[in-house]
Amino acid sequence: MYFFLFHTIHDVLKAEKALKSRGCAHELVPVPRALSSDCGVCIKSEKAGGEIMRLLAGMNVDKCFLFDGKQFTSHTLEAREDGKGMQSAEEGR
Amino acid sequence: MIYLDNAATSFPKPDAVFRALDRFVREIGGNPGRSAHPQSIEASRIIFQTREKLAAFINAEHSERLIFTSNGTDSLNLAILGLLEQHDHVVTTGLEHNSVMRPLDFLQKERRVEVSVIPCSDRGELDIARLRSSMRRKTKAVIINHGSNVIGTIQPLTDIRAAIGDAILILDACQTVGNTPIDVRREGIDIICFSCHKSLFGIQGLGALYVREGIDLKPIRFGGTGSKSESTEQPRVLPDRYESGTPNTPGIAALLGGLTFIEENGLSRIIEKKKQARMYLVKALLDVEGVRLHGDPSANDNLPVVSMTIKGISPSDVGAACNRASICVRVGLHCAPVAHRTVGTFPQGTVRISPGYFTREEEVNQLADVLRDIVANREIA
Repeated sequence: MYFFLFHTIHDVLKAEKALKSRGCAHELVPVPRALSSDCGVCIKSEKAGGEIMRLLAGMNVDKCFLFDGKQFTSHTLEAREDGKGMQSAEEGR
Repeated sequence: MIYLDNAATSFPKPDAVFRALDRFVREIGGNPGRSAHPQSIEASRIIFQTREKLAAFINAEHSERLIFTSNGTDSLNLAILGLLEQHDHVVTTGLEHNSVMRPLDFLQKERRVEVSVIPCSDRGELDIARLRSSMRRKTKAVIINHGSNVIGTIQPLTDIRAAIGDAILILDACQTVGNTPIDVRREGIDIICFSCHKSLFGIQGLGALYVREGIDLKPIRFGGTGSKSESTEQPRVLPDRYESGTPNTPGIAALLGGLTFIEENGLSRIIEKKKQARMYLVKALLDVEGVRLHGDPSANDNLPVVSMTIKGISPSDVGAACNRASICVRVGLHCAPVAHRTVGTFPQGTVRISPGYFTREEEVNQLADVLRDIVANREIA
């Protein structure tokens, strides 16, 4: 699953509005402690398909992470040219 | 009770305002942006929706640059104290409220800011040629009272924008937002400040400011924002940069109700209804012997704000008689001594009558009857 972190709750809700308008499944959850000591919320998505990536690439996403059930891996937020989702793992947490 | 003090705050409020306020306080109640539980997130959503709707209402491009404040004065303080630095030059007008004049007075003393005040006629017309010739190379900003809270005059923004070159235009729109269409992009407004409890039908304790991209105001309030909590440095991202502390979410929810009411009824229809109320009021007042109206209250695009005096009777005596008849008007200087000097009514002030969307003709008739009684019994008024 993927976690998208934003600078402000305003940006989270702007992204939520865009995802809702396109029917992209997602959830607002507390920012996992492993990612930030922030007291805010972030967006969680089980899958990050091309549509989510395209939508969020135009938003003020601060960071995004893939969680494989054990650890978080940071990702750059770029839509793949084939439109299938995100790529480029950078570092584990 | 007859309420004719809508320039101070609108009353009554539409039902949509009560419903929105009640729903938030009774059913939601969370602290927005502070926690990640459903009630907090829902509170944040209400703020987000209101911010987006309000930004669209003034045709602002980036809703995150629309900042919620405590009131119009708070917005003007952020704009003025956050922008002007040592030895800056600022230009303003002879119709300003103390929410502009007092921060400027403070900055004249504390930061040696130079202030030029451009005169207006007693009908509220700004001297545009003087405005143009007062501009200096180092003039940082021009602060304009968009609509007078004393005589209701609306200033011509296109002419003003053309006269001030690249200087930052700060608009005090406390009386005009909701009373005239405002388009910050078309009019070249760089910073707009207003309250949300007058013609936007919100409740007291809420104001807003919009600052266009490219202008960085220094915050005047610092503290928790729910974001970047690991850092003790004030965030740079908007709106959080200027919104430290728990916001007035009940007020913001109520504003959403007010904006929805405006949307459903149509701004132009609301403006027209208030204009009709003003014209009816002006006619009724002119029918009372001895009444003098100040400014140019019959002007086509004036605000529904009418200032009057009665020869030989002090405004406070008129106010006392209105109180006895349970009619709410506002007497005195309306926190705008500079404007009253311009109008020629300093220091005694005027009786200000400001009808609203819900004002009925028979209420105006009752006011006129009370004024006639005052005139007829002036010795004992």
